[in-house]
Amino acid sequence: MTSLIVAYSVVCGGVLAYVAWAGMVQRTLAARVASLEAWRDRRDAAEQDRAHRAA
Amino acid sequence: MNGLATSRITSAAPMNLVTILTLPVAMLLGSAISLIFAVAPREVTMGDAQRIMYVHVAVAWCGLASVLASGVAGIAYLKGRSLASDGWAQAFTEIGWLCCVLTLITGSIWAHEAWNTWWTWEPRLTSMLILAAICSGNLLLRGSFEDPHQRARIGAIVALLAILDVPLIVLATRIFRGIHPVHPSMSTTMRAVLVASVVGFAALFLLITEWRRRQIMLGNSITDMENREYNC
Repeated sequence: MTSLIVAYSVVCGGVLAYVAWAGMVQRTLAARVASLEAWRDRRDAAEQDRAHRAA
Repeated sequence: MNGLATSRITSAAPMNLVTILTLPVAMLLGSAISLIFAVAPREVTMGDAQRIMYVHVAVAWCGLASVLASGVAGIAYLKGRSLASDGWAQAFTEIGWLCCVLTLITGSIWAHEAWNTWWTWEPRLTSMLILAAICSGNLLLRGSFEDPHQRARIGAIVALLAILDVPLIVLATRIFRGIHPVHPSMSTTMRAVLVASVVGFAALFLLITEWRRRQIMLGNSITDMENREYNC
């Protein structure tokens, strides 16, 4: 019975560990998108500022 | 901002699809596990430990199918040079690796109960270990290349190498006569529960594969955008 519990726990743990890792990847991707958005916002603001000064 | 808007949509989409499919897959897998413990008959010789077989065989078949699928996706990449095919190839390779490792561990526990040894250099075990090593090598090689097309090319070649090991694993018991049973005798109920287990685990691994594939594709899109934005 112990080996049965160990075997099913290993499968469950392995799948959960992989899903947790994929969840971390998902968060990293979201952070990269947020960083890209912030960078674009800063660039657009700088461009608007330059255009405003030129006008 | 159009490119970024697209990335927002694609990053939201996989979570929606996964969220929609999570409950049905969980129910399917839950039903399969219930059948294993409640319906499958208790085997006379091994007792309850024999129930390891239902998860061991299911995970092993899912692993072999994933390796085959990654090889097919690899061939599709080599023909079309599309990173969409490589997304499938990488996701299936990862799942194949996970399933191979889980198969080896559960098989080892089974072997200890059935044959009184944790490991033996038996043909099927050895060829499965080789497959796990090839999958590990594939993932390590993929991680060492920055260029997505170079990564996809080497991944496809190693995936094709992995495919060659699959028939060896399947036919190992017939060709080499190891200690794995060639035609295991099972009652109709046991067979039905095994099929349910395979279906449940296949659904789970397909769901995770789809999630990872979309993540990989999104990662490629973000890298493209970063290269365009930060270097212009």
